[in-house]
Amino acid sequence: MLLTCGLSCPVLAAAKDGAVALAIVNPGGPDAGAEGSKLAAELAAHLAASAGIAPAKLRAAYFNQTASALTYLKKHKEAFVLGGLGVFLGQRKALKLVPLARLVGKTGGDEEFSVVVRKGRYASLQELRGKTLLGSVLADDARYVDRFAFGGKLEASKWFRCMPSERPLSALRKLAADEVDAVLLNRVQLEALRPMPLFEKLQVLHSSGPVPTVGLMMTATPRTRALRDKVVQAVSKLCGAEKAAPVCQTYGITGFEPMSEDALAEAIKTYEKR
Amino acid sequence: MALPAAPSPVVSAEQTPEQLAASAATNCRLLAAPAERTWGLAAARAAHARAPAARAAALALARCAHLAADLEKDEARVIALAEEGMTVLAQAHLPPGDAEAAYLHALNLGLFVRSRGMTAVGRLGDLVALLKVAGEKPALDQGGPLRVLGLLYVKAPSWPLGPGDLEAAIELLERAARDYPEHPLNHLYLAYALLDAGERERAREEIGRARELCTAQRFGEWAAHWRDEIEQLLARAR
Repeated sequence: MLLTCGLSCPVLAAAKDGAVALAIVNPGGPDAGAEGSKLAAELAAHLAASAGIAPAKLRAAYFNQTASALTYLKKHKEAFVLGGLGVFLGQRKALKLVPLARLVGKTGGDEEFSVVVRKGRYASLQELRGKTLLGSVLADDARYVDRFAFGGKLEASKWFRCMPSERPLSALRKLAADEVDAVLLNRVQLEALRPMPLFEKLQVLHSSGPVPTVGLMMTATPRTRALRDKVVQAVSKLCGAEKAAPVCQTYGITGFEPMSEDALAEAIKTYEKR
Repeated sequence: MALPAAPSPVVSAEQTPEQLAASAATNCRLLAAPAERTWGLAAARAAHARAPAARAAALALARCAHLAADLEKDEARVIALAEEGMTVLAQAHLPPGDAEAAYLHALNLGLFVRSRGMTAVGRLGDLVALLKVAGEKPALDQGGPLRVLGLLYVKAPSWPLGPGDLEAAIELLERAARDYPEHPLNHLYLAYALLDAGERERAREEIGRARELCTAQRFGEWAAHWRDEIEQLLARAR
């Protein structure tokens, strides 16, 4: 019995308990409502088909707040998570997260954060002390923002008056209208801003430099480990698939590259350094 | 030429494309009976088959196809009807600034995108472009171009990933509700935007207005569908 069972037994036993979760966690992202849930469900159905998993066994959920994602993931302990480095570092220990694949976008395989201000208004981060800072990035893990967006040189929540915003374009309009002092952007947002007339009034005051990324991770359980290769392969092929390619194009994703479990060791050190 | 009883969707060979298109336009409306709309669709198809480049025939068929698709439950039929509506407009080679054609194209493309889901998200940019052209005639369907673009701005992925823009949505939908206050969807869609902006009280007021205006006497079968949507949004707004 033991010999015939091998590695697949835990999978079969766990399968009786229901579906594995596919949680899309995008802190500070749009509140996607019913449309987002539909898109997430379609993505899960596509990945399940591509990975050879029964569609009912991969259940998708979308979150734009870490707290609600955590509540969900504490109930659905067997999960694959599509999310960024902040989610990984912030929840790695609590959820036993393991990185699986790096997200590669049009702008490359790493991230960069920038603080944007009105032209000539401020000359340094020092001058922004006590001022308002808006941005969707601020909804991400606070320690991650401090260590990676600001290189550990300041604690954003104490240095600025932070106002996480779901709508970065709205934040930039307020900045151009002199209603706020600064906006923190990620690389995709900054690249989208550069060709806009709005950027003529603005300037980049601070850049973080390259920050490593992750896109797919899993909670380490026997069942997710058993499914891991299939899911990583399916995700790696995602943007080449006829059905999913338009989604990748819309979201500026070129693809996913498999990564080793220790690929983020340096990032973990930076995050956990006292 | 509205037909009083259930007519057969058979089109006379003697009718000119213009007569068929006019008949289709009369029958393809919200308050028509289902059989009238079926007849209207058949008449529009016949008109377009006889004169593929005729603007009136293309517009009538695009309108009839959209109405049929809007109430259709079978997703494959929805896609087929919406594609038919878009194809006939393309075949008519109408000028790109034709606001009514752009509006009807957008209505069909909207249903197509909704039904195709993630495979059609790349078409959202086309939808915005069409609705901006349609905006030259905001009175179509009592603020139709304004409210459809407004709702798209509410529901689409927001900048920088998509055309979603809540501030632009509120501006358009406030204009639609102000200039065309008799259409319930102008108030309902404004409520969606206000709710997303955190203005719950104002959203509830707009939902209340939509509810009062949404009667079967004025909007036929569509009233029941819109009422369901109104009740769902009200539950979210509580």
